[in-house]
Amino acid sequence: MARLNIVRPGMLTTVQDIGRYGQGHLGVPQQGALDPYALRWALRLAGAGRGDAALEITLLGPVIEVQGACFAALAGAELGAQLNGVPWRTGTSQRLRPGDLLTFRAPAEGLRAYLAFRGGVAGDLVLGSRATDLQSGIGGHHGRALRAGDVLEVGDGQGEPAAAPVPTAILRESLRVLPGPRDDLFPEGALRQLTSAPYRVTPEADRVGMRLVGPEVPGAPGDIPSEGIPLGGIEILPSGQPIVLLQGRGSVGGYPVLATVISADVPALAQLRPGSRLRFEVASLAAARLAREEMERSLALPLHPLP
Amino acid sequence: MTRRDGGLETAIGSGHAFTRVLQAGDEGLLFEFGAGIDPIVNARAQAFAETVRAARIPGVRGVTPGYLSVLVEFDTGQVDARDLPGALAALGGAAAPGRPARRHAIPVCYGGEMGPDLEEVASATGLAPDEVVRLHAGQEYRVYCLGFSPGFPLCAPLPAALRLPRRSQPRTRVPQGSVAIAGLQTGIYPLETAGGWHLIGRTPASVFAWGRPNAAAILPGDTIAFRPVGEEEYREIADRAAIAETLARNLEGGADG
Repeated sequence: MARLNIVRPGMLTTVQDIGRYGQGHLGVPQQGALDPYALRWALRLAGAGRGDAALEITLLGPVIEVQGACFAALAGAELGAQLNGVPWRTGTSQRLRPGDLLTFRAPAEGLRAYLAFRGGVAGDLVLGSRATDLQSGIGGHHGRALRAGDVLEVGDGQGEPAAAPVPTAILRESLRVLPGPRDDLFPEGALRQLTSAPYRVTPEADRVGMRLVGPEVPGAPGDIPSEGIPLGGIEILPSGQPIVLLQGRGSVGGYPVLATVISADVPALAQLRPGSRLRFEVASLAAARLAREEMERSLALPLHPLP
Repeated sequence: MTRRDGGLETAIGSGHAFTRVLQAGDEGLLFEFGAGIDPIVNARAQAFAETVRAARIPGVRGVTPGYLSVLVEFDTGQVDARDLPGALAALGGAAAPGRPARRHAIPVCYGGEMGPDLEEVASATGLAPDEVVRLHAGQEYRVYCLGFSPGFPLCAPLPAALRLPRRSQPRTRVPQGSVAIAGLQTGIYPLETAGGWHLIGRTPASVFAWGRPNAAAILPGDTIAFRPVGEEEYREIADRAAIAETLARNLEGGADG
């Protein structure tokens, strides 16, 4: 094993994997990387396993001192990473040596990046996943965000530096949704209102969900008997304002879901900073499936070797 | 769901008791079993959830029962969503190997530090605090589902006289074991979390523990009844639980070494 010394933790850096699935009947949230597309690129570039954990880095990155040789990849947002002062472009992998210093300067675009290692990042395995659940305080590194002085174990496997053939962060402000599952509880025109004009991401945006502000959706029916909430579900609060639910959401919720962001656009949600604009557009189920197939194809493209 | 996917209803067939299937994004289907808060509707939903979970269909990664529905989530990177309704249909009407529902008697120390909102609930409902306790502990509740936080049993229906909206200012920290009410529901906070329900008491019972073979002690379909206890009995039970947990941990440690 190699080690990482966390000199500064950054704004919010957590250990995440693809998610804690299959525990919703126990009330256990899914968690996992908010941008599964970028996580999967990071794992693939690093030569890690699909179920391995990586570091999820939010906007302002950490300062990390590397102890021991290892092989790492960055994917997702361009947050100004530098290795020993030399820019490290997102979507690429490279060999790290003992004493290397990883820093992050001004974030350029997007919100979340993933740092993966060949052999994974060690973390507490809870109900089959290493994902950190900040609300429950379990999984990952002692169930919490990284702090200065933390030491993390990572794999020390080696690999050949490479670049992803496509951007590893999906940046789009137009998000496709499928109506429902509870659109029939709203008056006609509610969905039209949701898709009529842009919304803005408020500062109340975290791993659970993003509160939006924009056109008020009329006729929100208020509480309904609690039921399972899909990833990307758009709940309408009694105020008429939407909240988009992410991987950290509770397994069940009591506000009706008017529409659900398609799985191919969930990664784009994770890259929207507070204050940014977005708009929703209705897609067909066929279009949603096609978009997802395209995403899977792009994730399977050959890597470009780097000198 | 005939509205948006003509084939769905037909493909699944009529073997199941669900009344509707709703699309929940491209990676989710919401199976509905009726309306309202109804033990029969809920029992059907839970039986279906057990059946789907037991079938371990590749690509299905979540089966979450709610009050009147079941959300089935899947990974379209691993399973063709068009095959899924057929796979669910193949399960037929077969009931899952049933887990017998259990009845839990939950000891609760009401009021005081343990239930800081009891007085407020009493004045808001126009009842004496004793009367609130008598009503809350005077009946059994069905556990309709778990949610809100890990292992949190959502129980209903609360006696009509006790129904209040949630607190206008949610607490950022609710102590573990807090017994609370809101609307027509009552429940137990299994872990220290934020929360907006009215806290009327606290239980020393361990409702949820990570790492325990059965993390959730109370499961959907169970019934619970609350038993008022004094502070002394509360502490005795809490001490016994702590000892039992330490013993269990030591046994685990012993197995490793």
